Amino acid sequence: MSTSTPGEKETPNEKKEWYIALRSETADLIAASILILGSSWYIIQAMGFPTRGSAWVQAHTFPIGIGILAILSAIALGFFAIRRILTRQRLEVIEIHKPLIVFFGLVCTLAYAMVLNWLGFYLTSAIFTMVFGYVAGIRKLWALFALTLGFLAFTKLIFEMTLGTPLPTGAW
Amino acid sequence: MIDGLLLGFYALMTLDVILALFLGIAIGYIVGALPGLTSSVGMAVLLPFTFSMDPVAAMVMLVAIYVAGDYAAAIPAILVNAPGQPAAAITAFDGFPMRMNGEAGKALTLSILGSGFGAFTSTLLLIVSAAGLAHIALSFGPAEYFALSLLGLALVTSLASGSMTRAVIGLVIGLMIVTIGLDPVSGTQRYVFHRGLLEGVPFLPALIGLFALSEVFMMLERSLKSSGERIHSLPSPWKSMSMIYPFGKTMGRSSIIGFLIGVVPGAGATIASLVSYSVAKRLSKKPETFGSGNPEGVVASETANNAAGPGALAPLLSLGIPGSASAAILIGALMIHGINPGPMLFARNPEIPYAIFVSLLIGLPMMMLIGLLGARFWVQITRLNPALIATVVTSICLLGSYTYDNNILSVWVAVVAGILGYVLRKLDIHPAPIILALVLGSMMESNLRRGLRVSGDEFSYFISQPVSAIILFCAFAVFILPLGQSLISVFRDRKPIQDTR
Repeated sequence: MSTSTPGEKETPNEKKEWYIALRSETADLIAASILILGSSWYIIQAMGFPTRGSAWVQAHTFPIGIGILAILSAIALGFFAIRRILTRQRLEVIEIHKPLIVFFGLVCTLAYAMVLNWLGFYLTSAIFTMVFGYVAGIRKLWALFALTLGFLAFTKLIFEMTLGTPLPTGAW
Repeated sequence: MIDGLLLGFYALMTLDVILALFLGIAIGYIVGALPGLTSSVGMAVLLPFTFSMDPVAAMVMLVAIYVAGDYAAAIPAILVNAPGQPAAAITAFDGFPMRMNGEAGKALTLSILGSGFGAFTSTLLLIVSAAGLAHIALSFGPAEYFALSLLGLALVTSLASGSMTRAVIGLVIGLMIVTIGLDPVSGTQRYVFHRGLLEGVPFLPALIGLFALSEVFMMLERSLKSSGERIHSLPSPWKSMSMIYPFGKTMGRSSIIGFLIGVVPGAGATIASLVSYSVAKRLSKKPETFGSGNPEGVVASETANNAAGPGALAPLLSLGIPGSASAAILIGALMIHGINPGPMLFARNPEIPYAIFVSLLIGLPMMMLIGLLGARFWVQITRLNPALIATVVTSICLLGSYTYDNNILSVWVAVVAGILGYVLRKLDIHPAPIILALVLGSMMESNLRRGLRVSGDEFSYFISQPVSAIILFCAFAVFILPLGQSLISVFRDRKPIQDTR
């Protein structure tokens, strides 16, 4: 069983690209374990739903059925992964290229959701567009400014003025 | 039917709807031509813009994006070997070698003409079949709807490209999400950890996250190169018509294949394209030339690929069953506008399905013309900086999620769904089964429980109705047969495992 390993690749312009590699079998086993745990919790929660009337199918019946199906499919995923390891078939690798960029991209979107109500739409979007654009690979400052201004003007024109959508103004 | 088409024609002849049609075609072309963006992503991103639109205009615009996006997906497939949609990957088999042989113009022209023919023929078949199917479906009760939704889910898992196990996992994740909120029959709260979830997980933000945001995170990993191709000579639109004559039989055959496969929920354009390509290769006198730049390969793939699009609209408009991820988005759009998809759509809102039919009949020739005349422009679009596209798409996704119900919770749902979608994509679990489960899951549960209530908790009610019995048998066969084959191969023959990634 391999664990997460960083790798390096030669790109055509001779730059070494850093990436994270994880054996697909390991990833499948982790996913299967998470799914089994999550589904067990899901079933336990469903068992606590109140029963109403004498109907055979209650509010908890459908979720319990789904939970059992989820556990069975997770077992199948884990089984296939173990079999691939044992028989050395299809040893594939999941690669996450540019992991830092992906990580910062995820953080940017999470931060957007966190501060939207506090900073308001326009300020949040201005900061988000600039930062996310830079993280994505736009390095020219004028391009970032132009993109941000263009997006904010578009939002004002289409959403606020034309569609009449109220956007968050911020807590301050 | 003639009355319906006239009604659709009148509904279409307003400035708003015509503008929506043109806008949809233009956006569809742009989205399709951008490597990495699919028509589903484009529709999900642009859905919030339709909130305040007239339902007819909104549906016409979304259908135009859907069809034009499928059209234009061949452009990056041919020019940069980076298909705009999975189905266009088959087009790249011969399209990209044609470009390498200096025949990019011919490949693009053939793909546009083949696409147009396939989509137009398929639209005619759609018009003939959908209204008839809806008429039959008017007599359907809970048993039939339960059986249909079960069949849809079974087909989605068994026909999904790649591993069936992974498709089932996608499906159960979707079904788990759909149980959040008030129980549809008794009103019991299920997994409601926030007051905003009482009515369930908001569909559109979940859709935006799973399709569009997760795709953006995938884009951040890639460094797509723009096409170095400059097209110096494209055949004129009129002369290019003669180019298609030798492929008449291939186009006719591929159109029918595409439509029939498109109708089957879960099968979709990729399987249609692959089947049509295989049949063309098998029937060809020079099968060895396929894969090295045979124009017939481009025509077969593109015709079937685009014929599958209108085909997927048949179960959507007549039964309310989405045939593909894009069709699921269209169902979401109908629901957002307070319209229930299904057989009653033809009775209560006939202007919507018929306006869609007429817009396809009018729009498809326009799409072909725009495609042929604007080929150089679409080529330029494939050269846009992916970082710019990723930033714009993310900003619009987050804004669109908020405007769904002016609630910060929707932004959270989109972001969480985006991260979940990204992780699942890395595990080779595509979001399409999740989205289809979001639509079909509640339909299945509510009809199962309604059926049991009607029959006094008798499960035999579902097999005592002839139509539902046949559909349930098909669902069982569709789900069990591939599973049985996999298990037999694992335990008896010790053949390679079916869990393909």
